Amino acid sequence: MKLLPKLQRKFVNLPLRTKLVLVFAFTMLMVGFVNIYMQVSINSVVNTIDKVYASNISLNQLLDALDGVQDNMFRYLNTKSTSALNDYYVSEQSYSEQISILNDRATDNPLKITEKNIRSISDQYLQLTSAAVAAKRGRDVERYRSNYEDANRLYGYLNTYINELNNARFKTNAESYNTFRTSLGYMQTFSTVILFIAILGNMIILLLLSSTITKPLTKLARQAEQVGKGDFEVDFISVESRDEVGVLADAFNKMINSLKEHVSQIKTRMAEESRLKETQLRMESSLKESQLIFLQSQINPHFLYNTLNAGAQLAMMEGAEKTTLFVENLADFFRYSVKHAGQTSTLADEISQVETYLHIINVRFSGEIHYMKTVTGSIDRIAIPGVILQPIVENAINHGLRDVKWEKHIELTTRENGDHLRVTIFDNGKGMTQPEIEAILQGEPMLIEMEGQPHRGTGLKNVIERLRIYYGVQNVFEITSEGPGKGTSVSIILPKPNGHTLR
Amino acid sequence: MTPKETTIRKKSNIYMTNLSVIAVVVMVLVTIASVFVYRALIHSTVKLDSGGNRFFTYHIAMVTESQSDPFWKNVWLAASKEGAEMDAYVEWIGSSFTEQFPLAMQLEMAIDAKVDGILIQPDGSNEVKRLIATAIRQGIPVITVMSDAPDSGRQGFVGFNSYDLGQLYGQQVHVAMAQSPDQCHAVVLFGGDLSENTQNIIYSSMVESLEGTNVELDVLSIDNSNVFSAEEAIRELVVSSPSGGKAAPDVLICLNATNTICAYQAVVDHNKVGEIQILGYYDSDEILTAVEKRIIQATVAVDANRVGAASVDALMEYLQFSRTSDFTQVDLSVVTAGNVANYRQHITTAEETP
Repeated sequence: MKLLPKLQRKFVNLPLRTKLVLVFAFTMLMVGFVNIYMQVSINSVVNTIDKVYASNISLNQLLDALDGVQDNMFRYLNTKSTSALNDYYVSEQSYSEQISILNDRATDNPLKITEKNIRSISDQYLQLTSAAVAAKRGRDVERYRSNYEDANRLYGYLNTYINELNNARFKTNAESYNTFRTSLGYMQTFSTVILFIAILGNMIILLLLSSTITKPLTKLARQAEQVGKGDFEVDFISVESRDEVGVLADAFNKMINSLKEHVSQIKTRMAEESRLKETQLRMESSLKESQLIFLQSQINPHFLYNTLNAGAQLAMMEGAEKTTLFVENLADFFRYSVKHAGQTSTLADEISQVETYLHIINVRFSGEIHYMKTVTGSIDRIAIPGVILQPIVENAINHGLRDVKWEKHIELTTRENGDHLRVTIFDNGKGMTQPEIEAILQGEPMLIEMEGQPHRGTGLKNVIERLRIYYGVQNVFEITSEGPGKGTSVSIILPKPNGHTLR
Repeated sequence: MTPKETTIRKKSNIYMTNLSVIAVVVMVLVTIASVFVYRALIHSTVKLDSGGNRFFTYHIAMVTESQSDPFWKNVWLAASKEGAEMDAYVEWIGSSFTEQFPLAMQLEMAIDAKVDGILIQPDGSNEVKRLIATAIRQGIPVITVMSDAPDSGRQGFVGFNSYDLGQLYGQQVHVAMAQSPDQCHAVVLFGGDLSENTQNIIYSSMVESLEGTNVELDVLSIDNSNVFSAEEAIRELVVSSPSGGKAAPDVLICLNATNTICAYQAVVDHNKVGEIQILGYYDSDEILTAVEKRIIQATVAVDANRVGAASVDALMEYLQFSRTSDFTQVDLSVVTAGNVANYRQHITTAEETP
C-alpha cells in the first residue's frame, strides 16, 4: 500500500516529456496488446473452423473414393476389363490412404467413434472387394458373387456412416459458423469498447496533464506581468510536481525573492545617501552664512564711505586737493561697486564709474594712462547690468597696458549702429593673439600675476555671461586685436534700447 | 497567500495528478476485465471439439430396437457412466442416424465395426439369433439385456424374471378388477422388442395368476418394425366400440415405456379416463405423473440405471476374465398412486448418489 504513493510521487516528479511519453506509450501499448490478442483469438477461431470445414471436404472425398472403389469393382466384375481393374486398384489405394487418417480408437467423442466404425467396416469392405476381384480373376463365380453381395452390404453401411458423419460435421459447422459470428460480434464490441476507453482515457489524461502544465504557466505569466509593472508583492506560485514547470515556478519564486531584496537594499542605500547629502548641504550653507556674516562684518560699506569721506574732509582741511579728490573718487568707486553689483545700472553711470576707476588707477600709475571718451547718443537712459565696463577696463590695464613702454591710452567709444549700440574700449597695449581671444571668449579664466601673487580676476567670463543672460542674446561681446603690440579692442554690443531702457 | 490557500492549491495539484493516475489504472483494469470477459465468452461459445480427449481400451456397442425409448436412453446413460469407469466406451448403435434401421441390421453394423462387445435386447427373431452367433464366432462377446436369446450362445443375460413380471401384472389386474368385479376385459400389449419366448412366459404367468377369475385376457402384439404402428394400434384399441365386434378393454397392460405413454395419451384424448385402466411399464417422469393423476393405475418399473450398469459389468467381466454369470437379475417394483411419492424420492436420491 505504501508503494502506490511512492510511485505516484515518482511519476509527478518526472520530466514533462517522460510523463507524456510514458502515458501515451502506455495507452498505445494497451491498444496494441488488445489488437494482438484479438488477432490471436480470431486466428484460433478461424483455425478451428478451417479444420472442421477441411474435415467436411475430406469426407466428401472419402465418399467419392468409396464410390470409385465400388463402381470399379462392379465394372470389373461385370466386364472383367483391364482398365476397370486398374481403376479399381487406383481407387482402392486412394480410399485406403484416406481411411488410414481416420480415428481408430475408442473415445468419448461420438464423431470419432463413427470414424472408428467407418475405418473398421472399411477394412472389411476392402478385404471383401479384394477377395471378390481375386475370385473373379480365378473364375470362382460362387465366391465372387457372395463376396460382392457382402461388400455391397458393407458399402451400404459405409455410405450410411459417412453420410451420418458428414451430417454431424455439417451440424457442427453450422454451430461453428454461429460461434464464429458470435465471437466476431463480441470482438467488435470488445474492440470498440477498448478503443473508446483508450480514447476517453487518453483525453482525460491529456486534459489533466495539460492543466497541470498550463495552469501554473498561466499564473506564472500573469504574475510575471505584475512583476514587470513593478509590483513585487505577488503570491508565490506553488507547483507540486518536480518537472520543468515546477522548476520554472521555483526559479520564478526565487527571482521575485531576490528582486524584492535588491529593491529594498537600493531603497535603504538611497535614503542614507540623501540624508548624508542633506547634512553636507546644511553644513555648507551654514559655513557660507558664517563667512558672509564675517565678510559683512569686515566690510561695512557705510563705515567705509564715511571713513573715506572723513579722510577727504581731512585732506581738504589740510589743503591737499589731490588727496581730497583721490579719496572722494575712491569713496565713489566703492559706493558704486557695492550698490550696483548684481543690479541694473545705466550706461552713463557705468561710464562715470570707469572714469572714477581710471582716476584712482592713474594715481597709482602716476597719470600714465591717457583716457579718451567719444560718446554719441543718449547714454543716460540705456540700461545695462552693473559693474560691466569697469572690469573690462581693469583687464585692459592689467593685461594690455601694464608692461608696455610706450604711452598708454584707453579709448572709450559709444556708437549707435542701426539697431544696436556699440560700446568699445580700446587699449594700445601689447595686444592679443587669436588663440588668446578664443580662450577668453570660451570663458577660460586667466591667471595673472598681480603684485607678485597669483590673482584670479573676476574675469571677463563673468561679464560675458551676465551680458548674455541680461539681453538674452549670444552675440554681445567682441574682442579684436591686430596682433602683438597693436592693442586690443573690446566691444560690447547692446541691442537698441526698446526693452532695456531705464524707465 | 495564507497557509490554508497553499494547502488547498497543493491539494488540487496533487488531486489532478491523482486523477490522471486513477484514470490510467481504471483503463488498465477495464482492459484486463474486458479481456477476461471476452475470453470467457469465446470459451463458452467455442465448444466445437468437445470430447475426444479421452481414449478407451474397449468399444462396446449397445443395440436396441428403438432409439427413442426413454427407458433405453437411461440404460445407455448408466451404461456409459459405468463403462467410462471401466475404460470402455458404450456406443448406442443407430442413435446418431436419422434413418431407423432394423435391429438385425444394427447388430450387423456393430459386428462389422468390430466392436469389443455387444449389449443387445434381442427381439426373438432367428436372424438376430444367427447374428449373435456370428458375433460370438468372430470373438465378440454378447450380453442380452431385458429379453433373452437363450440358445444363441450369448455370454450372459441381464434382466428381470419374465415369470415374476407376469405375476406382478396379474396382481395388478386383480386390484383393477376390484372396481369392476363382474366382467373384465384385459388386453396385454406386447411390443416387438420382446422375444416371443419372453412374451409367452409373461402371458402364461399372467394367466396363471388370474386363474379362477372372470378376466378375459387378450394379447395384442404390436410390430415395432413399422414406425408409429404402436400409437395407431393402441388408439384403435381404445376407441373400439362394443358394437364393432370387439369391446374396448377395461384394462390395458403395456409392456414397454412407449406403449405405456401411447395408451395414456389415447385414454386422455378419447376421454376414457376411469373406463380404461392402464398398467404401465417404466418410471419416466411422464409416466409417474400419470400415476399420480391416477390415469395409470400402476406401473412396473425396472431400474434403468441398474440395468445399464449391470449389463456393462457383465460384459466387462467376460472381456477381462472370459467368464460371467449367465443371468443377472434386476429387481422389479410396482409403483401405484399410493407409493409414487416415496418412489420418486427414492430415484431422486439414487440419481444424486454417484
